[in-house]
Amino acid sequence: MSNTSPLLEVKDLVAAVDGKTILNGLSLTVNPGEIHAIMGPNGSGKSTLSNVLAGRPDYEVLSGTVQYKGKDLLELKPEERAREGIFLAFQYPVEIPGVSNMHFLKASVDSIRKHQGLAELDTPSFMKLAREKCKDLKLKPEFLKRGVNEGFSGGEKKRNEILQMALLEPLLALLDETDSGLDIDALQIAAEGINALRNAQRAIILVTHYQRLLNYIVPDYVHVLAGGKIVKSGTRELALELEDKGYGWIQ
Amino acid sequence: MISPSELKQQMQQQIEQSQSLDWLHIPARAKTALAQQDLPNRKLESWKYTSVAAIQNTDYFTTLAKPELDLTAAQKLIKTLPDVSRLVFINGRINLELSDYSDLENQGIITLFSNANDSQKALINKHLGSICDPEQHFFAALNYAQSNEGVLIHVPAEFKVGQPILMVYLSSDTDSPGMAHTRSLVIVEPRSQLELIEQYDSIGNHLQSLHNHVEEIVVMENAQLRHLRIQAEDESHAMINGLHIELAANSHYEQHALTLGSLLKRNDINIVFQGQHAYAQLNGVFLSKHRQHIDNHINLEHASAHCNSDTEYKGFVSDNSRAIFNGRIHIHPQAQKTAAHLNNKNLLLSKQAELNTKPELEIYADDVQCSHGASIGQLDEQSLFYFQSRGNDRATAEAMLCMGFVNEMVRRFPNENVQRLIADRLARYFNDVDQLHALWSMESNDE
Repeated sequence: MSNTSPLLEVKDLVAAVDGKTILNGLSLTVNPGEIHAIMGPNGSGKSTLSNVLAGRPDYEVLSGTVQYKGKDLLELKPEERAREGIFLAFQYPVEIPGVSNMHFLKASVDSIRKHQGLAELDTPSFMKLAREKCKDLKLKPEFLKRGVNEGFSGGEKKRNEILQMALLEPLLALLDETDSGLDIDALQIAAEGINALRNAQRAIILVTHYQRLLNYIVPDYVHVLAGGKIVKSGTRELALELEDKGYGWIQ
Repeated sequence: MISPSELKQQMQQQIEQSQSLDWLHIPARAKTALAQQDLPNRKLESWKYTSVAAIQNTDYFTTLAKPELDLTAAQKLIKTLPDVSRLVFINGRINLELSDYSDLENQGIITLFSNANDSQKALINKHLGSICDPEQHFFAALNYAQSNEGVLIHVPAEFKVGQPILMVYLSSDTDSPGMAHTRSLVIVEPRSQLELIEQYDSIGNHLQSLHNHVEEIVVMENAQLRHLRIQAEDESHAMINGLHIELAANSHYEQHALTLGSLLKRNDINIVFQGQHAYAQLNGVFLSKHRQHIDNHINLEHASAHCNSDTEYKGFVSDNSRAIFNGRIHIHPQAQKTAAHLNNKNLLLSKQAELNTKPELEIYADDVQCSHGASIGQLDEQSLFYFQSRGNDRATAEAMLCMGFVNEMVRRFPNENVQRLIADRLARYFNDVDQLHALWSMESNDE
């Protein structure tokens, strides 16, 4: 790993939402193939970090830099970031009744393939691929015909995020509390889906409040976020310690 | 531009030259009603936002439209809905070559007024003008004053009509402007069931006919009527459409409607709850763009106790277009235990577009549950970001959200063939908006 250049390099990032500073000098380096877990109490800025990296418009970067694949990430529009391989699995996926999940997925995959200079998949090939991925995530094929997240249960919404990730094959996946609201079975299915995507090129940032997800997806690094910056970094043992002692002892 | 009084004179001359069926009672009543009314103007509350002046400029009112058309194109348009009994009108006249309803004709369920037997004539005379009062509706009076034809749909008691009945109203290009009057009377006898589909369509893009349609529907005790309406003519079209429905006790009426904008579209829906425990559901979506104009007027007369109604309309208004939604719930003093809900959600996509929405509640009973609401909004930024974060550019994200807004209502049409027909017409409607054209084309090909 040491001789590869970092995939993501965040330096002294300060960011605000609605005029309120949430990230306050955050720095983080992620190399290809690594899994980083970002933990921290509510309001520490965990979700803000993933949203800023994905380019959410109401999140304002005040200072600091973010280099992704050696380029300035902050200059890119959200769709350009996605096409360059960044994927945000939403904490609260949006419901869009009237647009079928299948159309949404195909349009998304097409736009990313086009950017990569690949031909669009024809509809039958795409259907086949999407059905296979659904099966892996134990989602019924009818799932693809329904409106995007329309009337989905909490677990279905989160699995739909993993399904999108599996189809879009990102280089950097940001999973924003993908474990929240999942029962133990759904958590295992989601974790298997995520683990299946692990490879030497792909990096994953797991944002989570609880340690339990890390029982299924073992991170290379664990960072603790408090007051808008990383206050402690370590390995998986740090997560276990946090579960034991809570966040209080760090701050 | 000619004055409204001159225009009315022209109309009356047109009526003098026309011949109504001699056994019909309604024309004489309609002529009297017409003589006593002025052409609707904007001083009338119900015509506040729609100026008939927009259509006064063309010479609609002097003649009747000619039934000219391209037969091959017409065949293609009407064949998309299989397994139906079909009646096709071209610029207001029945076209028997394109129609196919002999089974139901033989059973006496579908009858042209001109073919009516004595008992059918009596039935028509009894009901025509009983729900729609020509004294109250200028364009209905204009229509009924020249009733030379019409369609009677009469479902006998305890009968379930197996296939939907499809009424296709086609407008086509003509050399000169003219008016097309169509009228139908639908009677669903007790404990019967019918699905009625109306497809308003067009061939060409220089339509010069003004379509004036009047329809009266009686749904008797315990009967069910499902009514699907697709108004998808080219934007050069103009239409004034009056639908008047009476619901008897325990009857069930369900309507799903799509209206695409054009030069002028005026839709009136009046429902009278005449018997207890009747139910009406109205789902509708209307779209306007360019300089199109759509005016929706819904009036629910809750005149009996224990009746329910649910009305949900969505508006999609863009460019320099104008749309109106007026939904009124009127609870009469005797209509206790009514539950009536009405909602109108709109997407306003341009600063130049104009939308007037007016939900009205008039309640004269004290034990009822009623709600009404209206909203006007823009596309949701969170949803746009969700789509963009998956690699879709802003224009595609916007198009998908727009499609979703409309499609939520289209998907409620309880007939997949009709859903595909609608998607195809929406692809045509958006032929100048690449993304929306592509999305609807994809939807229309969906299996």
